[in-house]
Formats: sequence, C-alpha cells, structure tokens
Amino acid sequence: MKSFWKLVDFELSRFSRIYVVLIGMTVVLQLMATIIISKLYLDHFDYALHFEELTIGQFIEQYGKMSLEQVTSSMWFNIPIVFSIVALIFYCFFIWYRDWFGKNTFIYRLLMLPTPRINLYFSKAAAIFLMVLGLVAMQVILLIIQGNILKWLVPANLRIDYSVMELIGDSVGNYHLAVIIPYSFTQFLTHYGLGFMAVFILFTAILFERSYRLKGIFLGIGYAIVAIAIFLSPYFIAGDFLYPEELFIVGVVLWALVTGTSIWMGNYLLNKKITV
Amino acid sequence: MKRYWKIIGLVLLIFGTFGSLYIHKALAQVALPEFELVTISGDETILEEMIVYGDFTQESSWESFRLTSDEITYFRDLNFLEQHRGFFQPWTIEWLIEEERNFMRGKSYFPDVFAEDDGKIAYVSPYMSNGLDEFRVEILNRETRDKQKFALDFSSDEELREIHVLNVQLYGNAMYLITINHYPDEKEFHVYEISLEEEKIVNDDTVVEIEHDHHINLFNLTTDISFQEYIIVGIEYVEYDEATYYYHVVDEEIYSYHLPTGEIQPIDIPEGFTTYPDDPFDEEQLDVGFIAVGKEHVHFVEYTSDGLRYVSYDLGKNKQEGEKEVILGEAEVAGLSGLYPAGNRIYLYTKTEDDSNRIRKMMVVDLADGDLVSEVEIKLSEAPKETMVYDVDIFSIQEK
Repeated sequence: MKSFWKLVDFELSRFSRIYVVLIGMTVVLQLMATIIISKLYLDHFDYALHFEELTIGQFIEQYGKMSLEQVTSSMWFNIPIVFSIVALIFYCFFIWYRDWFGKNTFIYRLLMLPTPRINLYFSKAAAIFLMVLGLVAMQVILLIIQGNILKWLVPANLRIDYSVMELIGDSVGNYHLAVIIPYSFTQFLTHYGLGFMAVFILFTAILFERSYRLKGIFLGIGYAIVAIAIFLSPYFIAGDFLYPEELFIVGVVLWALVTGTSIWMGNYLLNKKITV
Repeated sequence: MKRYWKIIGLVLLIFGTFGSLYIHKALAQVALPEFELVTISGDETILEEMIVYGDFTQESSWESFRLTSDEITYFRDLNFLEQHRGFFQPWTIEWLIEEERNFMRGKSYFPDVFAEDDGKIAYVSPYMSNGLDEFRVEILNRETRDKQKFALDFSSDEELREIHVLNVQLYGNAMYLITINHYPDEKEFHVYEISLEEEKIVNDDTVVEIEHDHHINLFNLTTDISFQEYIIVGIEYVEYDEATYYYHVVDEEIYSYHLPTGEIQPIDIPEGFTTYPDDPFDEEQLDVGFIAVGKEHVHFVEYTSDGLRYVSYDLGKNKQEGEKEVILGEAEVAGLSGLYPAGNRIYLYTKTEDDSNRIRKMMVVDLADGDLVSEVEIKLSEAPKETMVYDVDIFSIQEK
C-alpha cells in the first residue's frame, strides 16, 4: 500500500508544475472575466442612463440584471476549462509514454520495483483522478469567489446572486458547467464514473500498444471500440425496449463489467506481456 | 505523512468542496412549500380526479411539481431512478405503464396512438416514412392476456410519401386509424377501418383533401383513449401575407366523422366565432375563442368580460343548440392564466387578489350542462419562511 501512495505522490510531483500553471491560468482568466464583464455591464449601465436617458427600471427591463451567468458563458471563463480538459486528456497518454520515451527509459525501473505491477496502473489512474477532481473542486471555490467579487462590483439592485447549485440547476441552466460540476451526488457518480471508465479503457489500450507495438495499436483501438460498444450496446439494441430506469441499471452493470475487464486486462498485460 | 502533502491536500480539497456542496444543497432543499387542493365551492369530488402539473417559482428559480388531492410531489425530491420515470408524461401513459408494464415496452409515450375498449388495449406504431411501409399493430386482451400482432401494409399506394397517425380508436372488433397522408401535391385526412378478425383494412375514407399549405387539425381529446364515436376535424385555409410575412387563416371548416357509420357531416361554426386573432402576434388570449370536444358535443367557447359564452353543437342531432353563458366573475377572467380542456369539462386557472392575498384557483366548467361545477384553490399549506414571494404556474391539468 505504501508503494502505491509513493507512486501516486511521484506521479503528482511529475505533473505538479503543469498543474500549477493550469490552476494559475484558470484563476487569473476567470477572475479577469468577472471583473471585466462586470465593468462592461456597469459602463453600459452608465451610458444607458446618461445618453439613452433610461431609468434604472427601464435598463433592467431592456438589458436584464448582471449575474454569474454572463460570466460563466463568456469565452474568458471557458477557455481555461477547455484548455485544462485538453491538457489532462493529453496527460493520460503522456503519463505512460514519458516513462518509455523519457531521458532514462524510466519504465524499466518502475517495472522492477518490488511491488505488484498493477500498482503502477492504479497509481497513474489515481493521479489523473485526483488532478481532475482537484481542478473541478478548485473551480467550485472559484465560482464562490467570483460571486463575491460580483457582489463588490455590481450594486444589489442591478444583479442577481446565484449559488453554484442555482447556476448549474434548471433555473439558470448552465448545462456545460453542470457536466463538470454535477447537480446531484448521483449525477456526480455517473459523470465521473463514465470518465474513470474511459481512463481505464485508454490505459489498457495504451498497454496493448506497449505490449505488441505496431500490432498493438490496432489491438488497442479495437479493444477501446469493443469496450465502448459493449457499454453502449443496450442504448442501441434495447434503448426502446427497456424503461429508462432499467436502462440505467443495465448501464451500471456494464460499467462495472467494462471497468473491471479493463483493469484485469491491464494487469495481465503489465505482468505477462510487458517485459523488462 | 508530510511527504504525501500533495495527495492529502488534494483529497481534502475534493472531499471538502464536493461534500459541502452536496450537503449544502441537501439542507437548502428542505425549503420548498407544501400546497394542497381545497374545494372553495361546488362538487368536492372533482379535486380527487385532478392532477395538476406546474411550476413553483420564486425569484429566478423554479421547481416543477405534480399536485393531487393526496400530495404534492416536486421533481427535485424524486430519486435519480424516479426522475427517469416520466414525471411530465401524460397521466394516461403513466396509468398504462403501471397497469400493463410489459405491453408498454418499446412503445410510444404519446397517448394518441393508444386506444382502449371493452377490456382491450390497442397500439399502432406512430409513423411511417419513406422506406418503411408497414404499421405495427398490437392488441392486448386484458382479461385473457392474449396478444394479437399484425402489420398494415401501405406499400401498394406508390404515391404516398408519409403517414402521420393522429389517433387510434377501438370499438368491438374494429380498430380505426385516423391519419394524415402526405402525397406529392396534397395531404389527405383518412379514417381507416381495420377488422381485427381479418387483420386488414376493410374501409378507407378520405375525409379531407387539401394542398400542403393549409392546416388540418384533430380536435378530439387524445389523452382520453376510451372510444369516441365522433372524430372532429378542422381545416384552416391560409393565405400568405407578404406585408407581415405570415400565413393568415382566411377560412375555417369543421367536419364530424361518425366512426360506426362512416357518415361525414359539416359542422356549422357560429357566426363571428374564430380561434385565430387578426394579429397573429397578439398575445391576448381572451380575444379569440376555443373549441372543446366532448363525446356528443362540440363547444365553441368565447370569453366575455365576466365569464364564458358558448354555443354547443349536438353531434347526434347535427344541429346547434342555443347560446349558453357561465359567469365566472370579472376578476377571475382578468386573472386568467391558463385553460385546459378535458372533454365536456374545462379547467380555467386564474389568479385573483383578495385583501392583498393572492388566490390561485381552478374553475371547473361543465360545458354540457353550462354550470360552474367546482372551484378548487391551490392553497399554500406549509411555508418554509414566514414571508415568501412566489408564484404558481400551471402547464397541464389532467383527469385521472
């Protein structure tokens, strides 16, 4: 167990610089977005009152109140989120290939460690999960801070205060944000359960490639296609026949099957096919 | 331990943030009010048949609910699996799924394509388009549990492009399929009679043939899947107005089709009655009338300043009856915010003020008798806060 945590810590440390950059970029751009959009709104408000000669009521009626909704739908808010998602997807590949193609083919040392090789697989997955959820948790805190900044900058009669949950719930309906910050705990398990299953499938596909090289590319792609097809099969085959709640239960069973198979296959490849 | 500060920090951040987020949400969720249906006057049994689908709104947030005489259920309070069970689907479908879960598998969630008569339920697959020239028919005998399945073949009609099933009726050993058939140059309103013994179409009546620009409307209440003897179809003839870039209704015709005999009768529309405003962008719903269809009558209803005025057409006798009036009250008409026909009954949702209290009530009018049969209030029975500014919007009222 100790080796596992050591490996997780090791993986986190290796990505920590990029991770800090991602956090820094998100904080700076999103706080900037909040300040700039609030300021633009207030400038517009001043202009409308002085030059269009609108009353406050007329202005609100025409242009609406300011809220975090405007901020979260802006480009500056979403760019760091997209960038972080792309970076973490890229890192899912990099976390394995750097061990082979890095300076000292580090993978040989890792595979020689006196610990079950599956720990290597799990530690890399755990590092990815921690980094993904850590970034999302940071986003939640940032949204609360942004809400407070909005309160400082925009007068109460010109703004609507939304909690994080209101922002992602049906009332406001920022559904893009609700993908990464699910509205309920069950949805949280569903969204990130699917994400983690995808990571395990990808890891196993990478290990196919590492085990069989050129032939392994096709095996890896084939494995990923088959795994995804199995998981989605009830939606295509029996989507009309099963009731939604039955479809969900079948989905959970297939999720466990695909995730379990991916881990088992990863273990097999690491132990039997990848040689030092 | 110090060595693992990154892991510990991230785990604490993740659990702390998401834990407090979902715990806070769960705690905040307690704060939804309870409403109940209370009879103000008239028939006290009516509220037992009602299901009110609506939204509780407060400031910028809203929560969907279903309100019956027993309880209020908020969509938000259902668990994950329950939320997938079709909270907003028509009561008829919910009832069918509850009663005949296996039969309902893989079938449409629109009641229009189901019919019920004499212990049998019929279903017709909902549409046909290019490349698919069969309709799947399934009949379940609820007593014997026998299932009958067969297909209706329309491939011999080569010109036919698409069929939309508007309604299905079941009467003894006959099933009726009410469709709009699309041809290259026109569309037609058909009533097909299907013999359940022979499993084939035994009669095909074309009730209406018009160009594609004009509209065909079925006025029957399609949430009621029990047998309706008369099919009421309306045609709206439209003309394109280049000034407004809008198709204006220039003429309306209504016909009844008697299913057992196949008799088609034109229905006289009362003079001056229209369901369309002169200005199509006029949002004032009180300017135009509406048509409600019961099993034996068609009602042409218009608003007055204090109620409803309507003319009923007796389908059996093929004649108009005298004008009737139902007094609702000026404030009630002014505060009208929704109208929900249910055969001979209509439910009017209105919001009025009484000593600075807002009263939200449904007024149930029986058009066959011309009576206001019941007034049912949506009453706040338990509020989470002492003072609360809120509203209740209704998007559907159905009868169980």
